[in-house]
Amino acid sequence: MLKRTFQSPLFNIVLVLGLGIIMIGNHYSEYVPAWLTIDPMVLGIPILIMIAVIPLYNKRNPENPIKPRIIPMEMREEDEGLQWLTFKATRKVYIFFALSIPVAIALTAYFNHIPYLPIILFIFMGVVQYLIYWFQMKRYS
Amino acid sequence: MLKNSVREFRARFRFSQQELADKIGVTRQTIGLIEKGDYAPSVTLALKIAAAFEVSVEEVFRLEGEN
Repeated sequence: MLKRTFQSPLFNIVLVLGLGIIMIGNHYSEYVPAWLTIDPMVLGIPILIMIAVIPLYNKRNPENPIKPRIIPMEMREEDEGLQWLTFKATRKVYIFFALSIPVAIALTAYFNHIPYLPIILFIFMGVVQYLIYWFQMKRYS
Repeated sequence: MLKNSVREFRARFRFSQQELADKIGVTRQTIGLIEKGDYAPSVTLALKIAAAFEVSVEEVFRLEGEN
């Protein structure tokens, strides 16, 4: 269950969205409504609890442990079928970034009066990236 | 286009997707991808699947609609 949560692109969407909103609320508070200023611990405490539970999970699931690694956990590479699926999904994500980065640069320049726009764009690109990946994996699973 | 009879052989041998996957050392999702024709397996995997059913690769996999 814990590993599946970490592997879920939806979990990463919540993380990116939560982190983005907290950063905007805490570092651009003069530009956004007060209700958007959320304590970072709202996100931090659940993550710390999940990290703290990892050793317990690994003890109960020694055949399928959660190990720290650089490769994102949602990338499924256990066998050739899942590698192919990951290739299809990451290819679409690559195309999305190739198209969206120039647009994001232009938007940041044109709307430079919105100081937190880069964060909004990063949130948008992060969420869309995980959605593309999630839909692609769902389509074939 | 590569067609296959993995589903038919699996039914004949009364294997679930998970049982076949465990036999040849892949995930259940990969068996599903192959059965649906979404993914063309490597030669190695095709040989393993054929071996699990004790038949030749040509009996499980065939090309259709191409010369």
